[in-house]
Amino acid sequence: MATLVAERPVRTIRFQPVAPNIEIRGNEWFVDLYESTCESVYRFALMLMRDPSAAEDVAAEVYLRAWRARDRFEERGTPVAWVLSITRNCALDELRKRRQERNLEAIAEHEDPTQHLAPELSENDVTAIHGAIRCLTREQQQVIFLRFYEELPHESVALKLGRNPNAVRAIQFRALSRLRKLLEESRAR
Amino acid sequence: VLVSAESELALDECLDRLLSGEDWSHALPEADRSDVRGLMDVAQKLLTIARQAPPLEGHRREGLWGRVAAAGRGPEKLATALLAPWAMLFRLLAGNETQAFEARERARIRDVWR
Repeated sequence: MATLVAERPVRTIRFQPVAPNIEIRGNEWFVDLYESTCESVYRFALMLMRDPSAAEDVAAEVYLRAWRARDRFEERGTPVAWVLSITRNCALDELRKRRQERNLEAIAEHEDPTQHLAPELSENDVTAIHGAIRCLTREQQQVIFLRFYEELPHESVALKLGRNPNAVRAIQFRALSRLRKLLEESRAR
Repeated sequence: VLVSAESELALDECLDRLLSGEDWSHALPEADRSDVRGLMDVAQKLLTIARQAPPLEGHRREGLWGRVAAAGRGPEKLATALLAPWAMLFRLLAGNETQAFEARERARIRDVWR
């Protein structure tokens, strides 16, 4: 278990003699990261897990991993892109674990918080869409999440992910095309 | 699959209209855009599901912050001591329950870390 320890209550501390330019991030940095991203992390986890309790578990794990990996943050672009990537990995791990445990009853019991809330869609539709979302690439999932769950314009999505707006438009087109194809395949089965 | 920039632009425009509650079909040009229309069917379903996803609030918000913070510990005794009364004052002045909750929780968790 990682411990959230800061040597000083300051945002960063530099240790010149060891290695120049290495920043050790502390608790303040972490709390800021948490406060600015927790809502997105939880809802992104919910998009992937479909279960509020599981999404909470995933979100908690995300911040533990983020804390452990805080010194690698610079290499990974914006804070949102970074924590969403961690969220995806945590969610995939959790889904894999559940599959291995074959705890299908528990998943069926908790998995679908939207089934009573989206009467316009059938249960099959909702299941198929969530299944298809899980098959998208990391960047496609992030764009879909920010565009539809956060309802951001593509320019803001680009800013949050540190991408070019044109690239975001291309990713969203590919993501929806892929979703459509996956849904057609799911219907054909 | 080759996709024209025109298709990507048309889809983006339709999505903007869908998200703002407008009729997205008006954003499509006269020419056949069946590729974009097909994707908008998916987009509409996706948005329906997305809008039903509950926000992080109440006991879940409190629970998550508690779990994250309780997993660690920090020697920020001074910060804790300084922050707690400010959080109390903030709660009294702000009158916003959500913000007050955040401030209160920050102070409480830092107490735990002591």
